[in-house]
This record gives sequence, structure tokens and C-alpha cells, in this order.
Amino acid sequence: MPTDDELLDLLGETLLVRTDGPSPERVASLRAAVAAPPASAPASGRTFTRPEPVGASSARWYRPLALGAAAAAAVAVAFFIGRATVDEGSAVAGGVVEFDGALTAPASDGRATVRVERTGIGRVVTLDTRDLPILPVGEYYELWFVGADDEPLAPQRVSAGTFHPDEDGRSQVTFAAAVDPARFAEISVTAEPAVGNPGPSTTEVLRADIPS
Amino acid sequence: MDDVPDRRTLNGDVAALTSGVVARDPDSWEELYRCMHPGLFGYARRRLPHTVAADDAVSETMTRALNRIDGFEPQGSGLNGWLFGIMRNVVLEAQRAAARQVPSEIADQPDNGQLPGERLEDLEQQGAMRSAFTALRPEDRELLELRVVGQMSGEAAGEILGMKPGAVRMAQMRALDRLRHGFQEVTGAD
Repeated sequence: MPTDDELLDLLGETLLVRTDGPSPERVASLRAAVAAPPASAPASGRTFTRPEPVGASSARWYRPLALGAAAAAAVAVAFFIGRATVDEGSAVAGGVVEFDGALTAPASDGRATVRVERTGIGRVVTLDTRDLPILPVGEYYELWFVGADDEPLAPQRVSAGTFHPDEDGRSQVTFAAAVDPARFAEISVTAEPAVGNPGPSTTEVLRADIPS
Repeated sequence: MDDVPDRRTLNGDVAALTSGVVARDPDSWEELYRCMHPGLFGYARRRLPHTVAADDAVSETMTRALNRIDGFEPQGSGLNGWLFGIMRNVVLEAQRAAARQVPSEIADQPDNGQLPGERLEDLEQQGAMRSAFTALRPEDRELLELRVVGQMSGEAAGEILGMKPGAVRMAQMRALDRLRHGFQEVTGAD
């Protein structure tokens, strides 16, 4: 008859799942989030829990970011309205802007801007949306970097994270993402149903090409 | 596949990372992620429908931990118990979001191909243990998992489960009795 200790040792061996550990992309994403200033704490990465709406509770942390973004936008608006730029090489907030462009909506009035900055340790993606439709409770939006050969049955895309707009359809979120935008053809925002499926839905609400 | 940390040294390894983690040192966070991944992933994998969901849950746990690290206060269970507490909430939220009960069988281990006899015997023992553990009540499974995989003290596990230390000790004793009984039934041992 096994003793308690023997039983617990065997149970420990049994329950310990052998893994290769976290993927390099997930490690890079975490390192980028750690390196990001605490004041602009990143939103959750790929997640399947219902994201918290961006509202009063989150206004505290993104208010300074919004002020900074507003100042930067005032300078950059003449360059960035309706166009995208890649690898301009300009340092912004400690990072190099690799993409800064507008996302447009194929079937709605929604619009958004996305900025991807390469920092010393990873990419920081800032998404600013306006007029997105409010989704039913449990559903959420998801930001993707989409490969050139992406197909519904063979998706080649990387999620940067999920978000909810506020009651006016607006949101401003920052993601830490382990992606090089130059390796993707477009950025896409999809509406995701609350079914727990980690794959992308086919409901694209915003998109932008990434210039090659 | 062989670089799994020895669970008996995990607490010490993680405790040594505390100061670096609190100071937001990327190397310490990466080491913490790697150290905790097998235990957290296993916990999530036994409660969520697929490996991607489990991996997502571990990532979400680390992200939440990072966002809350300024409020972290080292207590009995340390970073290890703190992360398991966050993970437990992440998994519960995921299960609620999915609005379904998730099968809680223990995930199969990967097939390692040809196995020497000793290893095969180990796997047979683990298979029997897996069957016995799966047959336990969910609350027994969770308690034993927090104590064994999470390496939590009875007090720390009690905090997470909302039980007093004395109740934890009694519950663990009964859970172990049931586990032993189930294990002996499967193996045919006396």
C-alpha cells in the first residue's frame, strides 16, 4: 500500500504536463509587456475571456496615453490621414514606428488608426477606434496581423489581442505583440462570437493593407 | 521534452525570482514564465477544451500578474500560489464565457516513441494514477492539484479555495484516502 508521500509523488509526476514551454512569440510578448512603461500597461494578449469594456475603470491608465497620442496626432495628422507608412525610421515614444495607418470598414461607418512601434524588446501596437458597432454581451473585437496567403480554412494570421469599445464605439488600447508588420499583408479587426473558438471569425469590420 | 523543472525545487526557484519580478526585470519574468508554464498549463489543460485555450490561459495569467505586480505582497504561498490563484480565476472566467462544462480528464502525455522497460512501468503507474485521480470529485482534484502541482501550503490552498487550514487538512486526508482506494482498484494492489 503506497504511503501518502509515495502517492503524492506519483500524483505529482502524473499531473505534471510535459511541454516545450511557452512559445518564443509568447515569451517575446511578455518581455515586451514587462519592458513597456507601467503607465501604459498593455491590454491582454490573445484571450478568450470577455475583455473589460474601455470605460471609466480604464480611463485612468490611458488618459496620459491619450494626451500624448493627441499631441502626436496633431503633429502627424497631415502625414497619416488616409495613408499608411512603413519603416519611416522615426523614433516615437522610444520606439521606431513601423506602421501607422487608418483602418477602414467595408460594411460600416467604423474607423480606426493603428500604430506599430518597434521597441528594444518587441512591438507595441496602439489601436484607436471610432464608431464601432456595440457588440452583444460576450462578443468582442480582435485585432489581427494577416498573412498574404490567409484563407478561411487555412488562416495565416497572428492575433494582437482583443478589445471592447465603450458605449460610443470608441476605444484606445495598447497591445504587446510579437509580430513584424513587414511580414504581413494587412491588419484586420474582426467581430468574434462568444463561442470560445480561438480561430478567427469571418466577420471583418475593419481592415488596412500593409504596404510592402 | 526533458527540460521539465523538478517540481520539488520549483518553489525555491520561483522564490528566488521574486525580487527581479517585482522590479519588472524582463529576464526574471521570462524565467518565471518558463518555470511556471508546466504547472499552470497542466492545470488549465485539465479544465479547458484544448491546448490553445490552455496556453492562452497561461498567457492571460502572466499578463494579469504583470498588471498587478505592484500590489503583490509576498505571503506564505509566494509567487507560485499567487499565480495559481490568478490562473484559477482565468480558467473560471473562460469556462463561464464558454458557457459549458469542460471535460476534466487529465490530458494525455505525448507519445515518446520507444520506451525502455522502466519508463514503461512508470507510465503504467501514472496511467493508473490518472484514472484514480480523474474519478475523484472535482473539489478533491483541485485541492490535491494546488497542494501537489502548485506546491501550496494548506493555508495558501485554503485561501484560494475559501477553506480554513484545518478543513484543508481534513479534506486532503479524505481526498488521499479516496485516491489511494481508486489507485489500488486500478492496479489490483492490496
